[in-house]
Amino acid sequence: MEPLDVLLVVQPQILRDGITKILEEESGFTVKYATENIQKLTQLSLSSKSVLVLDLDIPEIKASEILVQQAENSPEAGILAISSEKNPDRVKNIIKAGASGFLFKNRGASVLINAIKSVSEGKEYLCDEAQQIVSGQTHKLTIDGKNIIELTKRELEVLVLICKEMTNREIAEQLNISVRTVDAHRRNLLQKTGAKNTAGMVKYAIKQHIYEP
Amino acid sequence: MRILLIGDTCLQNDAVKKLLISQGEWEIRQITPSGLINQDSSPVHNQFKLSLLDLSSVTDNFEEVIKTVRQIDMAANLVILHDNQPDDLTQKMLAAGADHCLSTNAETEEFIKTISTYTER
Repeated sequence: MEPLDVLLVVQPQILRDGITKILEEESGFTVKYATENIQKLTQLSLSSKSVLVLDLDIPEIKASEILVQQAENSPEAGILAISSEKNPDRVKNIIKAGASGFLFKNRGASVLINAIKSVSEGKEYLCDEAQQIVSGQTHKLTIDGKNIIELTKRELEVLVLICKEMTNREIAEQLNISVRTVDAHRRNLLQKTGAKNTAGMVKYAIKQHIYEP
Repeated sequence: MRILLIGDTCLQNDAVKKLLISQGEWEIRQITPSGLINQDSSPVHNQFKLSLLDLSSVTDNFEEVIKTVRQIDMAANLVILHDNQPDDLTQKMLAAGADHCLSTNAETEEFIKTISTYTER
């Protein structure tokens, strides 16, 4: 079977080199190119049997432009975007611009391998959190007839467990996610609800009938 | 030589593990910061040559976590891996007990060299 060419545009170098080694040991992958230099990417033509892993955290990256250009130059190649930033608009825009997949960096290498395989087969791959964002599994809270806050399904789950006085570690265990992910949800919840602290979030959840004590 | 990677599962930590394992002389064990602090059994003193703490996996006060890792004392040396923290924060990490602070933006060669330095001590 012909190996799958992978092109990594990833930063920083430790992450890029580590991913390169992981993929090279995985049967069926050849890391053809690994760089942080976006300019070099425009000089490459991707075959249909290739996947570009594009790190959206590279400063000043114009991901949408790259995606549009790659879609024109190499329409059959798969493009998988990776990012630490969980910005719903960013996920939606990147998918709209032509990425075949989206993966947050808080997932392990085995998830990355599965994502690359899916994208190479022409399938769309979204990690669970990105999927929730794109499929609109969100909860809109309405005040005075206006939608003012949109919470993802996962954020709602975390909010309810916070109301049940669970710690980040207990929530992580219950939802089978990392403590860091719980913390990210907690920060997003604080920002979205406008609460100053946990007590404020609980008060908000009760007021919005998300949680009943 | 054994290295304890203290951090959540994520692409960065899997990449770090792979880079270290591929050097051929290090054995890596990974544990989350909360897993380390809330261990059921008593930790064995200095069973690792080095602890490598991924700061992005730390959600509580990092100085307290560094002090706790030092108190648990499973490794002789402690290196912090961080996302470009400013100098005053790295000074706080050193004051809390870290032997060295290394940015994730460091080049791979520098990263391996730093780890070698602290595993050979």
